[in-house]
Amino acid sequence: MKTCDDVLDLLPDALPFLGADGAELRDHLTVCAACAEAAEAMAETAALLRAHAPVAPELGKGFADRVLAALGPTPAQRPRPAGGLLRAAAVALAAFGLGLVFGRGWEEGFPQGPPAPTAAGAAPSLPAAPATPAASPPAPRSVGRPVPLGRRLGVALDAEGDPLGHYVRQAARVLEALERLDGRDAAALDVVARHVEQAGLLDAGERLLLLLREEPGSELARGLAPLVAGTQLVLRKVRHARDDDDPRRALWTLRQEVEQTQLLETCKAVLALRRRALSREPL
Amino acid sequence: MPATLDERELVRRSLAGDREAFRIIVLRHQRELANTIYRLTGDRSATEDLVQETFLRAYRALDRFDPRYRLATWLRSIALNVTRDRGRRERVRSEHLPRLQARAAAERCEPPPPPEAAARKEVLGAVLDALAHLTPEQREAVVLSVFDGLTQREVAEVLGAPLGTVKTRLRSAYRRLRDLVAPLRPGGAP
Repeated sequence: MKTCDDVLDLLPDALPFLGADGAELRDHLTVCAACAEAAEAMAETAALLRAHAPVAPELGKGFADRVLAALGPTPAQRPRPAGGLLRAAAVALAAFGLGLVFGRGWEEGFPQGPPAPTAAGAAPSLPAAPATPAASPPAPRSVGRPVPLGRRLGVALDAEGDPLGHYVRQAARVLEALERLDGRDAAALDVVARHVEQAGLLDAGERLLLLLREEPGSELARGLAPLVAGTQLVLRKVRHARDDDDPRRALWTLRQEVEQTQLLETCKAVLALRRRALSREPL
Repeated sequence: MPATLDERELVRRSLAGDREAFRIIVLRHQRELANTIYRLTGDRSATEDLVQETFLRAYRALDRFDPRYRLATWLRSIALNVTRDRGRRERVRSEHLPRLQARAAAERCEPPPPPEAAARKEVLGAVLDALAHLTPEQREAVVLSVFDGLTQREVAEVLGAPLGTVKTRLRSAYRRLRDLVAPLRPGGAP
């Protein structure tokens, strides 16, 4: 025999069938006045609501067309950070003598501009960047032989101070923040996502990628393009993770990708090489 | 493309880049999602945008759709999240009740519609008013259970909540609704 509690639990599902089915429920309802009254009230309420169910306004003509027009690439078409590719990029950075090229490139091609803007107040809770150029001594100029860096790339990167260093530092901050986030805290994920937006990281990364891709012959570009592309994908996913229907799972997936691709380690390596080059330590 | 394709095949084709397959998904589910969203928000003007946002999120996450579940259930859970996010963004939760009440009142006070239309509006206002008196969690459970006809287990699945929690929410919602639906009874008697 079911208890009153059992019956009240079952009622919402059983309401449509009380007339023809649910024998056990009916047995209880015939001997329990309280449950019978509750069932009657529940059935009446549900029936009244259903009879007067609010109906949504018609969706505008061509609604499906508008949805289709707003779609981005399918999930399958979206490029994914390939662990092998990024690991290869990290290796390539070393194999191509990134330290030498990058360091001297910085000395020759990227004179120290003013520190890049860091979106003050955008995300105060983010961890500090792994390396800050402000702590490095100014780079001496015109040292060493010319580096294999495209003129256009060098000029463009020069033009706005230190865009590459700024981008890698900010990306590293985001990656570190992701590692430390409490996956259950949607607000923390929101802080990181807002930082990505307010620091304009995605736009900065896109500009960098354009420059790097325009210089396919440059060793620097070949070494750095996968790193920038990989961080861009992660940054985009941070924003999507915040809006995801299951942010915890999205964050978990994101962390796995960051770990497997060693993006943070590569960013740190780049910043360390740059710092050493600027301080003229032997590479 | 045959409109009778099953939903797994439609999802598979959509993932392969076939947008016409996704169009069929939209056409099949747009109406039910619009109703669910409208009943949750009571906001006619925002419904279309929220339905669109639901489909866009679904498309982005399509590779994570688990075919063991019904597509309709999955889409509903996304619609709920879209609605909740909107609520968080606009602080609807704190403003929801007075706004819905104001809308219901306005609908009742609008100038002289024909008698039948006026009666329909009044009833609609009463239903929205009743729903607005529930907590957001109770409202979600009621909309899915009463209007969408989901079982409590399915409601729990959509909400990502334990079954026991859903049962408690529904029970307390029914208790509150009992008086709130009084205007809907014939003659509006309590």
